[in-house]
Amino acid sequence: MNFLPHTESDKREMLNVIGLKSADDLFKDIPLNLRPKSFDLPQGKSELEVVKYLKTLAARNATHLTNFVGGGFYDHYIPAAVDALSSKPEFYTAYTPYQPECSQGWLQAIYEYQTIISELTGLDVSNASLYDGGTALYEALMMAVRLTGRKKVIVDSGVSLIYRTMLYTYTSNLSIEFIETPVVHGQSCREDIYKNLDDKTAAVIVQNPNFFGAVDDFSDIVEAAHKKGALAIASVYPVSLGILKSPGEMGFDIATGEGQSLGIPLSFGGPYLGFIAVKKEHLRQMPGRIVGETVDKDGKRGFVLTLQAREQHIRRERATSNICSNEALCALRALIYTSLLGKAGFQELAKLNYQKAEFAKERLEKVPGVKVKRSSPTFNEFTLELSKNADKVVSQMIAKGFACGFPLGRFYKGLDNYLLVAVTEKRTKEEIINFAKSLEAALCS
Amino acid sequence: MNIPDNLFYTKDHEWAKIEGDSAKLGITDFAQSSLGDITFIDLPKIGAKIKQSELYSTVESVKAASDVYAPLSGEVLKVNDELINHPEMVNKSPYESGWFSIIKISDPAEKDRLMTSLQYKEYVEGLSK
Amino acid sequence: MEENIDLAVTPLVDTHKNLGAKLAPFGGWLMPIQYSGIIEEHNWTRANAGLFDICHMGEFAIEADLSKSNLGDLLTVNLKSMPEGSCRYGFMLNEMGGIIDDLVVYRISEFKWMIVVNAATTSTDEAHLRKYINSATNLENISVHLGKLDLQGPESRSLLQGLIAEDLELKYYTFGYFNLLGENIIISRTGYTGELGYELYMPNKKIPELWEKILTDKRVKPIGLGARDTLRLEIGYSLYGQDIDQNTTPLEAGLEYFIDWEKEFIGKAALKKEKEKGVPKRMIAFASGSRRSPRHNYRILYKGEDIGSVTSGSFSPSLGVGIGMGYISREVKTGELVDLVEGSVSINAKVVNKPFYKNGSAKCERVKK
Repeated sequence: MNFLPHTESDKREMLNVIGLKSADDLFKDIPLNLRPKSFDLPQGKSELEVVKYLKTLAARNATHLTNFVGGGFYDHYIPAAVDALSSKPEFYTAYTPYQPECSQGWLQAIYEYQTIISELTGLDVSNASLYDGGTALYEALMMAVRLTGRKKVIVDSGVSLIYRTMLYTYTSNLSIEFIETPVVHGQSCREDIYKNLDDKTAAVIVQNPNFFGAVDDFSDIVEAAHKKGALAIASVYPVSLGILKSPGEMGFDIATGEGQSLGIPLSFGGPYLGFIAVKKEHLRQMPGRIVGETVDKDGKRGFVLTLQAREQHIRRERATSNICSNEALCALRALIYTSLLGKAGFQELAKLNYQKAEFAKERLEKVPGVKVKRSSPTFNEFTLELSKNADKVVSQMIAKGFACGFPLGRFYKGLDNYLLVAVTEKRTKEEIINFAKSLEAALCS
Repeated sequence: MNIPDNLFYTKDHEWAKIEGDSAKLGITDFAQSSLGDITFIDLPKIGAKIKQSELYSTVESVKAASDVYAPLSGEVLKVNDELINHPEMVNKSPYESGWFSIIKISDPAEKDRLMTSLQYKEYVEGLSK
Repeated sequence: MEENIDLAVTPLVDTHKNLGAKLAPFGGWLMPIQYSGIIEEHNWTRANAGLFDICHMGEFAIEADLSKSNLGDLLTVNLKSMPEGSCRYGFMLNEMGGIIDDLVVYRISEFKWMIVVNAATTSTDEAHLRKYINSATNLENISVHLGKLDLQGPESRSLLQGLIAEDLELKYYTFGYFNLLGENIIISRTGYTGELGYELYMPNKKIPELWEKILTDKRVKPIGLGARDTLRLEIGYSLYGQDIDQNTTPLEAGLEYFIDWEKEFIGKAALKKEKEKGVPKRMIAFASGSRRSPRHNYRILYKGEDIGSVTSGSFSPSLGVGIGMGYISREVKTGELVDLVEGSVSINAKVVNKPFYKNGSAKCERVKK
């Protein structure tokens, strides 16, 4: 469909019909001092000047560093096909493509995306996506609050501090009681969780792998939660689901997470992709858009937005959430990415990540001043204890060409010498060896 | 403030340049600066007899008209016709091309009542305090 | 020069000193009279653009619902018909129809107004207004914090356009709000020079910044009150306190156009009487045949008879002759000759129609130099 702007005579005709002299008359109710004629903006720049300026800004990014930083957002390889296909104008420029009569392509894509999330997490149903892993976790929390009618929530401190902060911020005007339970030797402390778990608990929230990179089987915690009538929520790393036991298999009611690893670039913080999957019985409390499969009047298979009574444009006060949008383009990229890999490819991807991380651990263990924390199994991310302040090491390593990891002291008290290192399939053997060498030099000086 | 050495001055900011038995007359830099843009000068007629300390010319600026008094007595020999159409010359060059008139001095002793450049300089400085 | 410590100063007083301006008292304020010279500044404004420090003028912010407020009774301006964003020139009169002040009314919204008045009369205007306004009228004197810069001249639009990114669209005698230097300010297309120009109302604290910013463009020079006077006189504008005052009515000043006869206002009865009986004096304009200029208070003689006096007179830089205005007690037709006399000075002049200078760019939509 072509875009044609209004001509001057179109405008005059329209104004005539409604009996106005100029478009300015439409704004008469707004006081003159709130309709300034200029906004202290700089003069416009030419295309050449703008490109030059943006390039200068972009040049300030340290994109030359070899990336060993994770912390929830990972440097995975994105095949060219993901950009190529998602850039097709029918996908790229469509806005809110939810009228079924002219958006079957988009609706099917979202439906397929939902299916993939459901398969990866091992849970029955998923939605058309949310904004990011943090808001997805918040939505899961609110689902549990609505479903149980309870207001107490246990949050494991292995859940990323970024996500925990978001939970507290979003619920700051609700009287939700949060209890943070500690991580001991990298593992969720069951004792503390069970101590606080009672019939006032709405949910228990954990992260797998947790922020320290540690992997766990939470089936026992899930069972304990269910015994008390609470829901179990897991925030998960999708690529890890290529080899790890899925949240569905562990019995979780809701799984959420950050889909950035599925074909979305790091992009200095966004846009990212929140996913959520739930057990069938919780479907009606799941927020966001859902695409469903149906048949048209000729009996042919088709796709539509469904169960819209959950949403705020249908039932304002009783809506499950105020979200009325999704990350369609990012979800599309995730779909293309996982489809390209296929089941086998996805498993191979996960294995590669795991193996390279294990190689890195071994190599780093040999570096004087480095202790690899081995109290728990890990996926592609692990914790090192260094002989020096981790922030200082990070600065030194930047000079050597490495984004060497995340200093855990920034999120956890007393862990100033701890460094979180991630190794994805993109890291070559050479890079890992050089990383270890440079780390050794940095720790010596 | 420009105050050439070789001239004589009055309290009303006129100057006289004595050349033999004639004198060239005009107004000082201080005067033109205070007046601002000069727009009209009422010059005496040739042959007119003027008397020391008496009004012999008027200078108009944009905002006001100012009286000009004769530094010395004498008979008007020449007047600066250029000033009729270009009165701004007085602003630009009060001591050279902005001269008003040339008179034949009738009483050389009157010169003693005029100030030297040094005395005029002191006088002007005293005015701005 | 001795400074009278009772004089008010604008935020730019030090700036003017640094620019070498000649400062003098005007209306209770120490103001710049000239920088490089009155004639040069006058000509520069007509050819390019001039920037004037007019912070001394007074401004009132008024809230008045015309259906309840009696604001309209105090001014000769037709307030009801003013659209938002429009400006109107008019008067505040006393009971005798004499002019307390001439002013410009700005309509900001249905109930919000700004009135701009002369510097010397701001206090008397405020007293008069407060004496008469009813409780449905809210008046605030905002002069203390609000400054004003006038940017006038054929280059003024292009200059102002350089300061804002959006299209500068203001019709003659209208205004709008503009965000400049972090403030939401009124800019009106009004002025006192007869040239295309704008008045910018900026809080005093930002006036020095705005002044500097405008002057970075070499097409504009600072202009003093000396040139402001010759510029306005060439257009035939009256100066309050000189051409119009409490003893002059708008009819006498030839400014009946700015009276709204359809409504009530203080002084209307007296004006009506004067209109019926005929004005006792009337304003005329005259131009001399030479560079010689008439001055305030010179007598006006017609065929030897003393018929009035000069109120404003000056050399006109644009025309190269002396011009002036004054009041006479009998009619003299345009083209006739009068003599302007004081002491031994007698200037012959022709009675002319205003404006003296006819090439002003004020109303131009497309300015040609």
